[in-house]
Order: sequence, then C-alpha cells, then structure tokens
Amino acid sequence: MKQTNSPIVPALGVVATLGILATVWGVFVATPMDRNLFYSQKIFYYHLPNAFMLFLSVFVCGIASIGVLKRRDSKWDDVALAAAELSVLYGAIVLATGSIWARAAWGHWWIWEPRLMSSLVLWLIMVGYVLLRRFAGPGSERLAAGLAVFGMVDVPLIYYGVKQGDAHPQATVVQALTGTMKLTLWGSVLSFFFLFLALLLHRVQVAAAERETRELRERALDAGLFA
Amino acid sequence: MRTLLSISLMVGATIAAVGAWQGRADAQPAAPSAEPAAAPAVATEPGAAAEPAAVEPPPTGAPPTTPPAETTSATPLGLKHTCMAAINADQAWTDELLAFAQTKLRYDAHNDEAKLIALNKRHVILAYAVIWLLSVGFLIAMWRRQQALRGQLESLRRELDAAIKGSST
Repeated sequence: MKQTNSPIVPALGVVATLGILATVWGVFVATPMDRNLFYSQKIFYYHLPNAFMLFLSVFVCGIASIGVLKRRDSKWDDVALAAAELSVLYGAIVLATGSIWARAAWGHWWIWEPRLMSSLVLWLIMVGYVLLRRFAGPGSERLAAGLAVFGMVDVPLIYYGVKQGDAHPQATVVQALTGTMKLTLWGSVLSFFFLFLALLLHRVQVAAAERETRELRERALDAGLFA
Repeated sequence: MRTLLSISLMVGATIAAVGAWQGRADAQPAAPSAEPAAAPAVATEPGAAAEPAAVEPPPTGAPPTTPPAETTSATPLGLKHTCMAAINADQAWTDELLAFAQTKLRYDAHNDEAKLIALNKRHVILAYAVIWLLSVGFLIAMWRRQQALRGQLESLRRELDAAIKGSST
C-alpha cells in the first residue's frame, strides 16, 4: 500500500477537476449554439471524450491482457482489471448520453445502427470480463484476458463504423466545429484523459493491494500461522 | 463487483427516472400542435365540436338564426354558440378566420416547436446529470472498496499478532 501515498494520483485528479470545470464554462458560456443540432449539441462535448476514454480503457485492458497471457504476471492482471472496470463505467456513460442525445436529435432513444450496436456489444463484452473475474474463481484471469483481447478488436470496428455511411451524427458534427468549439472539445478530451489516468492508477493500486493482502493471508495459512 | 453493481443500479435508476419523466411529459398538454386550425374549424364543421353541442349551428352561409334562450346567457357554452352563430352567418368572416388560422397560427405553432427543439435544455441537463451521477457512483464504490481493504488489512494484522503471540508462549 506504499504506492497509495504517491502524489501523482491526487495531482492528476486536481488537474482533471480544474480542466473539467473550465470545459463546463466553455460548453455553456463560451461556445456558440450549433446551427444544425442546436442546444442538444452541447451533449457532444462530454459524450465524445467519454467515448475516447472507453476506447482507451478497452485498449489498455486488451494490451495488459496480452501481457497476462504471455508473461503470466499479476501486475499486468491488476492493470487489466482496473481498465476493464473503467471501460464499464465509460461504456455506461457513452451509451446513456448517446441515447439521450439520440432522443433530442433523432426523436428516438435508440436506433439499430452499426455504431450503436457495436458500442453496446463492446460494453457487454467488458461487463462479461468483470463478471468473469468476479464469479469464475481462481484461474479466470486467462479466460478473461482472452475476452478482453476480443473486446479490443471491436474498437476499430466502432471507430470506422461511422465512416461507412451510418446515421451517427459524429461524422458531421466534428466537421462543423468552429474555433471555440474545437478548443472546448479538445480541452474536454484532455481533462477526461487526466481523470482516466487518475482513476486507472488509483484502481491499479487498490487492485495490487487487494492481491497482496490475499497472497499474504494464503502464505500465513500455508505457514500454519492461522491454524 | 461493488462498482459494477453500483453502475448497474444507477443505470437502472436513470432509465426508470427517464421513463417516468417521459411519461409525465407525454401526459402534459402538448406544445402548440401542428394543426392550430382546430378551433376555427368549429365554425365550418359543427359536428366536429369537442363537446356535444346543445344546439345545432346553422350551415355555413345560412342566414343568421336566433339562438335558443338558454344559450344566449353569459355562460361559456352560451357565448360559444353565440359566436359560432355570428361567424357562420358571415362567410367572409369565416374565410378570414380560416386564412388567419392556416397562416399566422400555423406559423406561430411552427415557431414555438422550433424554439422547443433549438433550446432543448432538458436533454442536455439529463445527459450531464447521468455523467456526473455515474462518475460519482464509481468514485464512491472505489472509496468503499478501499475502506473494505483497510478493514481486511487490520483484521490480518490482528490475526498475525495473535498467531505470533500464541507461538511465542
């Protein structure tokens, strides 16, 4: 638990908080209203950064899972588990805000178009990973790692799905951004990236501490201390 | 797992809240509809009146008739029938009212609808609320997990102390 006292996580948290406060001002005060999507376009400034963080956390989980499969190192496993939980969080945010935005822009809470479907599938894969880790018992790390690699493959499919002529608005929204809008969007992406880093590092530290506690107890039992 | 459960609970609660909110919004009187000419249509289509008319208004263009005594009173129904009779008596006025309904009122209704769509704050507020609720929920779940871990460490320390004390005696 020594790492928990590291100042990196609080520092990242403070930077992220300040950045997010600045983007709130940018979204509601500085940016003009979009000509096509009007006020509901303001959902986009937080929806897209959270989608990026979803992709990033799935990638981190996938790469760490490859580390688990190749090296069988429990440190990789801590990173994979932390990133998977974050991907569940970001997936829930993206699906919820996307659905609300769809209602405002299209008049429907959900439509069965490729990007929405693949995002939902990705989220379900990551929920499956977390459930597997929770309920499958010892040895589930490698099985879950395979699932995470499978989820990572889904990310490019979602990203390029928008370029294949689907109904998702992002293709046109990003092109229509003006100077202040772009600044606010990328400021928001950066702030959420810092928040992602803070949450990931903290969760990795907690996961490592949980693992170490478990291992200590097992060693004490093996040594006959808790007979 | 606590994190996952918390997120699932919050997503469920949000969906339920949205559903309830939507249901309430649907139940509320709608914004100016796209058919604002409904009220003046009473004058030309007496059978389509919202409430059963006590007196059948005369057909369009017919000479003015004297309404029954009970409808000439200052009750809303009486006033309504008086108005209908007067409007039906004058074809030019009827046409003028219909033209007004189909142009100005329709335009106003369109404007009101456009304003509702353009300044759609409730969906934006809902989206931002969901983001913060889920994020705060995750932070709370992580804090609780850390507290539980601290408890486990304390318990392990006590057990180790007891075991060491037992082995030394």
